[in-house]
Amino acid sequence: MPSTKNLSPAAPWIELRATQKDWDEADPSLLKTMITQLHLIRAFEETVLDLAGQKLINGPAHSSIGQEGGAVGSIVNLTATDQINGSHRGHHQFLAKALGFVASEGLDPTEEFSDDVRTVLQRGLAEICGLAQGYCEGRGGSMHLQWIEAGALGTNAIVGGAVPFAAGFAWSSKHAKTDAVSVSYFGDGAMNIGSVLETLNLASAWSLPVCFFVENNQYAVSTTVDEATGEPRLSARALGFNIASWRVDGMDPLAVYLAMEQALAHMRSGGGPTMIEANVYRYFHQNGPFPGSAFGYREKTEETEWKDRDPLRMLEGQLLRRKLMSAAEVAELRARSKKIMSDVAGSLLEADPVGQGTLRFRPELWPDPSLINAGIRGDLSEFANADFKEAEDFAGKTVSKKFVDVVAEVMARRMETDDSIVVMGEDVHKLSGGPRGATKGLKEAFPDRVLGTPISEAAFTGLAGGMALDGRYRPVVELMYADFIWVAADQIFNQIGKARHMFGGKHDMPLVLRIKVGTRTGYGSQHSMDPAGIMATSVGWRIAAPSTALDYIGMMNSSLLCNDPVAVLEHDSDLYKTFGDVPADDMDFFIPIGSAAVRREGSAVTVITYLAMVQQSLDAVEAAGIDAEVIDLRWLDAASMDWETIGESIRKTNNVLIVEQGSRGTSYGAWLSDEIQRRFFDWLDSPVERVTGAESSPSISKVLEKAAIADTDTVASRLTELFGASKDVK
Amino acid sequence: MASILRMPGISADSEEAVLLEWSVAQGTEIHPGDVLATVETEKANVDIESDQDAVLWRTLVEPGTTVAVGSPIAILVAVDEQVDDDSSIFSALGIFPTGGSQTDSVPEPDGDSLASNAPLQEPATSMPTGGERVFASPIARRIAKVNNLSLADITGSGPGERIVRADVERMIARAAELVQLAPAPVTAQDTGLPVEALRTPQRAESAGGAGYTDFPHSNMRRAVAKFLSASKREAPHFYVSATCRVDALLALRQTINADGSVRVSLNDFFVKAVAKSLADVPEMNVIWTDNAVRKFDSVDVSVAIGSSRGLVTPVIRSAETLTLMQISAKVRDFAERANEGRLKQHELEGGSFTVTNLGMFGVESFSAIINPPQVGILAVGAVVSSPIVVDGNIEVGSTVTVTVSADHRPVDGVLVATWLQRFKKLIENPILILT
Repeated sequence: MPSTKNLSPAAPWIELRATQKDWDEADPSLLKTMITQLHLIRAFEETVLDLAGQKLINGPAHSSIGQEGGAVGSIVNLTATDQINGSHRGHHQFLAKALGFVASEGLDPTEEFSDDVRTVLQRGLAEICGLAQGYCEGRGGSMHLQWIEAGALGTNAIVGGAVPFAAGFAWSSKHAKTDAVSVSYFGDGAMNIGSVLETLNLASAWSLPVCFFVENNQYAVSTTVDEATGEPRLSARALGFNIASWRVDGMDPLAVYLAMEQALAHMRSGGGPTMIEANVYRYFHQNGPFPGSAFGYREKTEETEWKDRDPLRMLEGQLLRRKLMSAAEVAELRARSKKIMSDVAGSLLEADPVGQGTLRFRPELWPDPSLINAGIRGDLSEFANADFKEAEDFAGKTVSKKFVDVVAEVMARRMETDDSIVVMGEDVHKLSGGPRGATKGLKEAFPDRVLGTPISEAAFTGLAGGMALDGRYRPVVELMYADFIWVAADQIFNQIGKARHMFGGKHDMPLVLRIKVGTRTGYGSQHSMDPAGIMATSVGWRIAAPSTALDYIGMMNSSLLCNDPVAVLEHDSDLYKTFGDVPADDMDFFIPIGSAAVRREGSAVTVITYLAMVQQSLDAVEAAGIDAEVIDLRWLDAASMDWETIGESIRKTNNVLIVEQGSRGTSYGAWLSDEIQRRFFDWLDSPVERVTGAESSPSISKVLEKAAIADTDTVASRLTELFGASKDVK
Repeated sequence: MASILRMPGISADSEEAVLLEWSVAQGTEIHPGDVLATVETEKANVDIESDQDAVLWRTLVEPGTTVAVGSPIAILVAVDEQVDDDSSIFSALGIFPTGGSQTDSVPEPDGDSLASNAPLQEPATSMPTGGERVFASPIARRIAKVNNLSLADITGSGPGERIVRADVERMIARAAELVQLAPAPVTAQDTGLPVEALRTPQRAESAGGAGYTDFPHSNMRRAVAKFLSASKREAPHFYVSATCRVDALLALRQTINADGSVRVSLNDFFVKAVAKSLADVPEMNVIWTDNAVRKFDSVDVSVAIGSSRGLVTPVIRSAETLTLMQISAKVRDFAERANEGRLKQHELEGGSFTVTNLGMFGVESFSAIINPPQVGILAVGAVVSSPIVVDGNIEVGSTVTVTVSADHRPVDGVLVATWLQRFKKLIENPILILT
């Protein structure tokens, strides 16, 4: 019979209820502000559903009616420097934060709404309608509402997708030594998704002032909480991560306010993250103007029971009881709220000239379709005064250094000159510079800006995304192997890559993702990919692929100056150990984004390649004895292609061979060859040819690994096969 | 209404011509019969004349350019036509100028935004007219188009016999040598291809120490080489000779010349005799074609003229119907105009037989190469004094040795011998020539 002892979680787990005494003592202006916000939000949401019912809203309208109490109660006490983000159902939180921002002294329910309030309502509704005057110029819509000034950093259509970003906001506020917090709102459905659980852990590990606010509205679309988890008390999740946790009736705005008051005190005093589970109820279905009961997954009686506890009615009752408002004033607040929304909607609408008495949005309010691609990335104006240099500028003033040492040295130099740079990744802080030495010396020199992360790619990549969106810090994330882009895929592609454009194309996303390419390390199928093709075909990312140590310096400097997310590809087995000449006394120069380098001039064929295959292609050209021109692309994303250099070469050689190391399936060359044949069709003398690895991923077995990837031999034999016979003709 | 002026097909076997010069400037009003341009083919310089009232709105090729037959060389517009912009006219006519002052750069969008880059539209490049698709690489098509070459004329050496750049370059290298003096407007800048004007003698010292000078081929030299090589290669020559006594002929000529103001040459008699004997032996008045032996209704005889500009062979039409005097006048006119380079292309085409004469140089006999696609050529030697056996006695007489080179494909030895026999009879009994 073993000896047992009952253990208990280290963190507190608190259920909070507002008492009559709390209601009696509540500040009248707090209650008045809350009732005003609640009515405005309710009227706003009713307007949205009205427009959705007229099929005027493109896509889903996720109504928050019934859930307003949780949003207003938790946000009303936040400051402008506190930041929130949210989920697909986020109108109410966005409005609460925006109204709190424009009316920081509170709202009087009996006063006329200010122009600022009206503007919030109008721009919010316009955004949901996809109109240009919306907060994100109509690009975000219902699920991507952002107003950074107000501290509303963006709602999100990926369940749980926004949560890691909130940890990044919190890290920035903490590191900046402010007491600001972040609050990430998500639903019960997101409680079981990896990015949320990873972020709970990371926030706790780093003691970040972030509140995980779970709006448990009982249904993930139609699936109940009980069906989705064995622990339906969702606030219990926090305990496993040693996070202080509250459970509160979300239909009671004051209770939520009080819970948040405690949570804020905890976070502002350095206690680390918190969780609040607010039990609420959406009166309607997942989206649209019909109740959930209409879809058969719940009963009308259940809906009635929840509606009887409606947060507006509850707060109105208390205001009447305390004689802070009269019934007439309440009725008038309701009427004025409906009126202002009617006015706002009316300003966006007109009679549809071809409809049967239906409405349409005024045509002049739509965004300009020709601007669809504007703002996917920045304009590089940050390079206006950059000191651009190339290898030839350092002739005679170089020393030979190991590639991987240069990786660490340039980062050290930049961290020395720029306090905003923060390095993070798995083991980057130990092992004398991480697994390969690429961060050597950084932790010792900059202990609070070199962060060893848990093995949680989604959480720490997303956290870095939040830092970039926040803008106070410039994160540098190391992915230990390129294949882990799939592990962090939502954060890399849906969040970081799209954030700028999706939210209106105005705010920067400065982030460097150092991706180590593990090809030819013997790590097999899941650690050997070349990510260039995937990164290049995903919008929003710039891609640097330095093939020499000197280029690495200039390109990393440019990547760290650039205000867009930049993926820097680093080749472990083929480049880290190589030596190259680098400037003896200059770690501060830049290599222009979008500049390729001709590594060998030739006339027979243009070999276009990058990263490790540059040297291997040069070797192959000599081995094959073919007069090929070899272009090192250096920058791989579609916006950073050096078409001038490529075009000049193709017009000379009329033949193209794109060389890459990795698998054919996710090949980089596929999109490039397409682009080349369209741009230079009349200059081609043969189809655009490609050298890639096999369809298979590289295997552990040495011979299978070689068979799966392209190398010097592959390139040489392909060159001979394609261009060997014609070289005497040339 | 705008219209296209195209390079005319000047001779049946010529697929390109050099535009030597524009005779009127752009913007000039032109009328029927006005000479617009001069064009040089392998055999002649031709004036292109207007057949309408119009304005020469744009020239599309620069002087010196080799242009494929049928390719646009200029745009004409109506006299009172308002033209707003070039591109609308060009697109309305469905042509895309490449030569001359028109540039042909490919617009390239900047790389900032992929999706903003509409796919680049390039005009279709030179396709062979009709027939099956010729496989050619895009750059080969482009270069061919820019240089007005027809892909149909080029043999592809690439995969699947695809015409690749090198194939077009070889063709251009040949064409370049045909280009007059000035470099073609299509320069290395446009195509990456030097189109050299190889007109200047190139002096050099050979490795062995002996110096030499390369005199680049003239058009005419090339044409001669091309046709005669083809003739020797394709037409199986055989040779039949005869020696004709010409004392009677010489006497007749003297009589004629003493009488009139016109001097006829001995060669005029030979031409007339050839024409007459071809009329008398019509089986000989034929040529070989791919599918048939073509027998002519009339006798068209070419006369080889060694002009100051090279060898030409203008044709005397229906020579069997012309008098000796008419033939003599015709030959003299040809010779004069050949020296001035003013022979018309049509005057150089056709004929079934040629007369060539080196007798004035003392050549006693020689054999000539047939002027394709003709059936034969008569090589006429010098008048020599020879011992002649007449009725068992030797006497001194004047003779001329003639040698027929004949194409064995349409004619056999017996036929040629029969014809030569008739010819000899006419020469030796010259009064028959005049009948």
